[in-house]
Amino acid sequence: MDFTLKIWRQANAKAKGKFEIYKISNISPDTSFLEMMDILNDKLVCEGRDPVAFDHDCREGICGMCSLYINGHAHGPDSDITTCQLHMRKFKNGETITVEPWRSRGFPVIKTWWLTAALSTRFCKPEGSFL
Amino acid sequence: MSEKLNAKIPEGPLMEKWTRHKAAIRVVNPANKLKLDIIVVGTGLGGASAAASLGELGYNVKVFCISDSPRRAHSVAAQGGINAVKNYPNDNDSIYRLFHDTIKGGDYRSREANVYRLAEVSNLIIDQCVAQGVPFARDYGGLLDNRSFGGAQVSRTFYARGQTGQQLLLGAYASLNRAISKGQVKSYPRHEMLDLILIDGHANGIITRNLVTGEIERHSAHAVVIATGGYGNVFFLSTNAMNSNGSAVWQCYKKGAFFGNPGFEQIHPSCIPISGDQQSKLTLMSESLRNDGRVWVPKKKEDIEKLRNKQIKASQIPEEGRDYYLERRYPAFGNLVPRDVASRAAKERCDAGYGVNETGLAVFLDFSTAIQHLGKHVIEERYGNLFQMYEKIVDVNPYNEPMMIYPAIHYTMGGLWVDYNLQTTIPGLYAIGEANFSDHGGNRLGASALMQGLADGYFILPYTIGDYLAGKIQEKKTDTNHPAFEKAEKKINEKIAKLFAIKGIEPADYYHRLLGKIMWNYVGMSRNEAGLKKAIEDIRVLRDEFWKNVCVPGENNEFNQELEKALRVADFLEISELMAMDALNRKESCGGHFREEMQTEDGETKRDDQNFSYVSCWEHKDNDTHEMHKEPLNYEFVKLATRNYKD
Ligand SMILES: Cc1cc2nc3c(=O)[nH]c(=O)nc-3n(C[C@H](O)[C@H](O)[C@H](O)COP(=O)(O)OP(=O)(O)OC[C@H]3O[C@@H](n4cnc5c(N)ncnc54)[C@H](O)[C@@H]3O)c2cc1C
Ligand code: FES
Repeated sequence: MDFTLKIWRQANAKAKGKFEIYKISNISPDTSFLEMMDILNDKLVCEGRDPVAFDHDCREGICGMCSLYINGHAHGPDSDITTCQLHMRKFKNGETITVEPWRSRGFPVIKTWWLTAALSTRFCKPEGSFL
Repeated sequence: MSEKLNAKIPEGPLMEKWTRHKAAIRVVNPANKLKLDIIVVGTGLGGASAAASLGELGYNVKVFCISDSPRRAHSVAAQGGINAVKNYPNDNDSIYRLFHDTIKGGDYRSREANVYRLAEVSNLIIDQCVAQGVPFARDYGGLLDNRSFGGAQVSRTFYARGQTGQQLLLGAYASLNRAISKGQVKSYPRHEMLDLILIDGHANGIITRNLVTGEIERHSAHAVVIATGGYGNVFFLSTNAMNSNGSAVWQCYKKGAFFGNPGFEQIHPSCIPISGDQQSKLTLMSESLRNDGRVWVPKKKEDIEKLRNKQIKASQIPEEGRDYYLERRYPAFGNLVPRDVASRAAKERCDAGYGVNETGLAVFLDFSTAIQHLGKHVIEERYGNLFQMYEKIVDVNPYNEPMMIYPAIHYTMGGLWVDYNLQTTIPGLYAIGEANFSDHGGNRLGASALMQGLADGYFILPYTIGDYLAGKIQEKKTDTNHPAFEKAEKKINEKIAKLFAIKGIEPADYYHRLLGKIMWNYVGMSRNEAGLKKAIEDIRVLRDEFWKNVCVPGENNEFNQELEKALRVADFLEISELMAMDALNRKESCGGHFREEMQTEDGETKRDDQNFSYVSCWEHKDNDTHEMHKEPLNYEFVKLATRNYKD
């Protein structure tokens, strides 16, 4: 599958950000969204350009690190999942996909759309009230 | 034997060792605890429970992790459960039975005294977690429920759906937060340890990199605890979280801590099969699913063809056309044989041409019998989140069609060598959780890693570290201007500068992927002498390539994920060689370590107790060479026997 990616780039918390456009091709429908981003990043690194920073860890929907706003929805178009569980089969071939950080004070941008989860951590009070 | 290798196993009968030891070791009084600093690296179940407990005790604790919050550590992903010997199902479980199952499951390559202690404290963990509010599953009468895991004939696994690790970690994290709010623990998220500081041969601090600003920081303490998890990501594709790595352990090794059994890795039988070469990680389908799932492949090759061509679905193959090969080969344990046995059996069927997907590398895990007997709602209650996870990834509904699974790298039994006190060969340096080598021998039983991490952190380390720190109460805090810090910081800055200066053409992931292929092909499920020698050569070539051609973009003084990866891959390229060397040395098959030269006629592992009943303990030497020492395993209480899961 081929896609056009419209990605929000921002050097750091204070810098002014803007959208940039990237093309990506030969993506398998079974590839996950973050794997597609890995492929883009590897390509950018090879071309001597700055890769896109994004948080992730478990890649199976349990740790809560990943946090993208995709086509106007938190974690993208699929339901009941986090970004890392989203697969490219949920998009149409040739589609333009818009990728942004979460825009809320609780999740400030540090670089591109990489966020600190300081706020969500604060919900987890000492003495054990679980988020 | 190296004189540093004193396991310090207490005298006396097995059942009394821990009690006697606790009575014999020193304690630190509350006023003196306030003068003592401890660094804990890692906030998984091992690190979080240790840091919380040490903080509550009154020590000054600094705790470090890579993620933005301690509660995201890799432990959060553990699915199936945690073992303990409460014997609630009244199925004749006991401390001795868990001890024996663990020794046997590990194929007689672990230390009796440590394993017995682990079984002994297992029940305390459940009490502790219930008190924290961990929502373990309960039965209709309100009692905590248990399920079965591989390698045991009793049900002793406590669970919270398929999210046990998350709930346990939230419990430990809540305790940690309590200590943080009291000021006893200071938390350093997004800080990666890059080196260990030794002063007069004692662990006295660490160097970290602030992952947001790139700043290299110095932290001193009277003792350092490594709880940084396993190094399974050496294989690139594994069930571990993306940030799991072996760097902290490796840096300690290079500073003189011995590495125990680096060649013992666990390959988990039930993971979602590889779908293509764009994949970044493999997703586990918990072993608990084998409580209700039955593993099979078709008996007839023509059914295989039809499956691969998508002419039929698995559910259309009638009962008599199915080979439930685990039930066939291992009647006594059936689908619940230990992981190494189940993984090899899947490989055997796939190698014989019975793999059920296009790549030929998959078998079925089928729930239809259980759904018929128990109803869909029961299966949904037990494993709902796992079924959903499977459907999202594979796009097949496992309530209707069986899951497809294949083995994948999951856990590392090897790790920093520790004595009975969980102290490494470096005084003042401790290792807990998956980062140490201690309890699982050649193969870990399911639901025993969470048990071990929490046993180490809540109930063992807080006592044993006191014995060491009691001797430190007069010692002043180490000044971070000490030349040892200067030297280490300079070395790290040089290493980072060197990585940036290469300005090569391939990203770190490229080398990582290639390394993973070498490891999987030659240091994976099945190993032989020629393959291991080839692996060592290939790794060396790849490592040279990496240092000539890797490309690390950006700067040091910013958030730079490519730099993080490059530093970790550089270490993986060294750890991997030691893993292969260890596997080459061990000319026997045991647990997950299967040497093709050493197998029985029906393809089972063949141990060589005469020559290999030891822990291989590797020491780092000058010019990056490695020397092996042996810690003999003296079985005083258990009789060595061939593992038998057939009858
Ligand atoms: C998918 C999956 C499911 C599992 N399910 C089960 C199960 O059901 N039952 C069971 O018993 N076991 C299970 N296991 C195994 C078990 O989860 C792990 O062995 C265990 O959680 C490891 O805990 P740990 O505390 O040792 O390390 P981890 O949880 O891996 O934590 C490591 C910590 O160290 C930090 N860290 C690492 N390197 C550095 C560094 N250089 N500097 C600073 N910080 C660092 C990390 O940020 C993290 O906080 C499972 C494993 C996987 C992969
Ligand atoms: S990466 Fe862990 S939830 Fe997405």
